[in-house]
Amino acid sequence: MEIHINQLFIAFVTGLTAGGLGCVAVQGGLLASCLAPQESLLRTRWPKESRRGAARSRAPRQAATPILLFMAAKLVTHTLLGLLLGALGSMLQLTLSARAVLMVAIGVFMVGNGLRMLDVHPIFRYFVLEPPAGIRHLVRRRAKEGADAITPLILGALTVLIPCGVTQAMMALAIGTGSGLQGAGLMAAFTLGSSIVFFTVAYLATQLGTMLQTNLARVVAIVLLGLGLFSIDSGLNLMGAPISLARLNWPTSAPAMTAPQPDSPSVAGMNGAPEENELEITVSADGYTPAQLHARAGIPTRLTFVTDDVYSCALALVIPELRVEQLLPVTGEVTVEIPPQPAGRVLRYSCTMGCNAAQIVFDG
Amino acid sequence: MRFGRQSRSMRYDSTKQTFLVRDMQCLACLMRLETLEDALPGIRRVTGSYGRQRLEIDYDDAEVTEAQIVAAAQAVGYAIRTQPSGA
Repeated sequence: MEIHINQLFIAFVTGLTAGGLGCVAVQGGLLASCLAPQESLLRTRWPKESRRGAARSRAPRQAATPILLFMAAKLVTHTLLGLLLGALGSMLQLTLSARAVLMVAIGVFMVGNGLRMLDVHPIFRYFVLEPPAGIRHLVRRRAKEGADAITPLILGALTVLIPCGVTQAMMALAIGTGSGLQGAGLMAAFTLGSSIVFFTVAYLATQLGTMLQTNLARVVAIVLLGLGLFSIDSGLNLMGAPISLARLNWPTSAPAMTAPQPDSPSVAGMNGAPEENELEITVSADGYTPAQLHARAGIPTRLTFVTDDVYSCALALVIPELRVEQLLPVTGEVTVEIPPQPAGRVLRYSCTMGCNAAQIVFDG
Repeated sequence: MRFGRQSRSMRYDSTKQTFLVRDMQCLACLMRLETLEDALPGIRRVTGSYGRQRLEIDYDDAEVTEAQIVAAAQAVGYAIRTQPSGA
């Protein structure tokens, strides 16, 4: 089964930025509640007379243990959740257009959360899915009662029930992967990224001032807005929609953007008239080059994708209008035959993530 | 004088009061406010909604007063007030 490393990297960075701070806000109190009894336990274990020497050097390590246990449990449960959600996505057999709609919906959800955090309008508060009161009650009870070593483990595991807005968006993305393994990897990468921030804040026990906290919330909101717009744009690319951000700057008849063809753009027939377009597209980590090509309308087109040691989602090619889904080799050539297209037609394609948009314009 | 939306249950001798919360910014705020359940004797149940910026508190008014609840919420950083009738 194939793993999209790019997607995992994006999930990790999301965790490291928006996710980490979002998680600290929602779940930080839980961790603090299980750290407080541990600290009092520590004080009991190390009486005054023996605390000065060995205890001082051991205390930070002791404080780190519950945080690490909390993180480990959180990582395990979120990875399992990703596995389940991805498997659910694969069972649903999401079609290309369903995936595209899901990506746009996730984007809208993220943008809504970003606007909520910026307090643009009270309506955006409904972009957070509130866990049921019973679950919140259960988590709180456990946090209150526990003072043993297992409490951080249980609370870490329970965080899966009280996801922050960004985690909820990642969960939706895990369904969209349509693969248990990819879903698990996505949630694991996201949780690892967020854990770094979570651990740093918790370990340093930083008491952020109100002003700093507000500014951080704004940063998270802006990151969310950016990620949301990216997701919407990817969904639009995947749909082959003409209005995605990448396509806004592409005039459909700009000669300057016509691809330089190595020999001739078309193969001539017996009477000299061209009978087939031959187009070559180089696939790299940056996407498809040239991003826009012009071809003659009314004749078939041979579209050759050339890869050379490419490891990126650009290998998973989608031409939505023709329902073509093609996995390209890491190194090699793959030809896609396109039937004659009418003049003025713009054939859009991208990777299955929707992040590498390109198109062919058929001229009369 | 009591105002706002409230109901009394004779069985438990409890009062259910809805409070409006200002500055509830996320789920964390909601969960923090729900800890009022453990903070004051006489509070039976605290549930709320971040979306609606409301808290519903079920309490025994023989043990705790509305003013004490408002003060306890203020102590954890939130200004709450009873929801006016019909709101």
